[in-house]
Amino acid sequence: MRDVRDALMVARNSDGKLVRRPLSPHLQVYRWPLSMALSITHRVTGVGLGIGTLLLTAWLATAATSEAGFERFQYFLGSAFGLFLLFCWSLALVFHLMTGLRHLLMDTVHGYDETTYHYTGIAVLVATGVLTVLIWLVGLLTW
Amino acid sequence: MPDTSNMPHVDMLRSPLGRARGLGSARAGSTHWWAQRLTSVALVPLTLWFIWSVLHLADASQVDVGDWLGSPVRLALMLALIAATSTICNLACRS
Repeated sequence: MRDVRDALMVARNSDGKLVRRPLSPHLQVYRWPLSMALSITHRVTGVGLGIGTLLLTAWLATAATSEAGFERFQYFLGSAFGLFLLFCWSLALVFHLMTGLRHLLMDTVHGYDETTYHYTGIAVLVATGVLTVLIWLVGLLTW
Repeated sequence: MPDTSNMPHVDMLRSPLGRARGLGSARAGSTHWWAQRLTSVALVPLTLWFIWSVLHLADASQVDVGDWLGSPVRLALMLALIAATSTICNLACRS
């Protein structure tokens, strides 16, 4: 028996003739505009931040249990790998916050025209870079 | 007789209206949409507060963290941060 979904792929054209509906091309045929890259990065960083929240809860859990465990955890966060994780996490957090603010702006039905959309995208990238560097400068100077 | 199995044809006895009735909206989208907006708006100040707090606690001992989180306002903010993050994770992964 044929797949029943095949029936949805058949329609009549304006002459009344039965034709197969055309399939639209998928992602791989497009070159990557900024908006597409920001959109998928927003989702990827969102998933990353969800997983990264485990780092926060682990930190709180060790702070609530034992001094030795907490010291070990702080030592891990201060190690090269710990700092690398924290850097990736802060970058993802700031990026997701910035694209999130852009999404909230778009929820008010603003910024949809091509020029504004492109420039708010560039603004997101610049703000992410500046804020992340600023956070790390303050963090490392006061550490 | 020519092979017609690959020619466009309809082999399901279902009208276009019947097909459309079987699809339609899920009727629960606006609650989801609103919850996602509320949590994301709440997370803007919470995230800024969190970054600011973490910078303050960079070299904190366990006692420092205990003292810091001992304030009811900070505890409420921390719980709100974790609750909002978990909620938006759940909502956003499904949208």
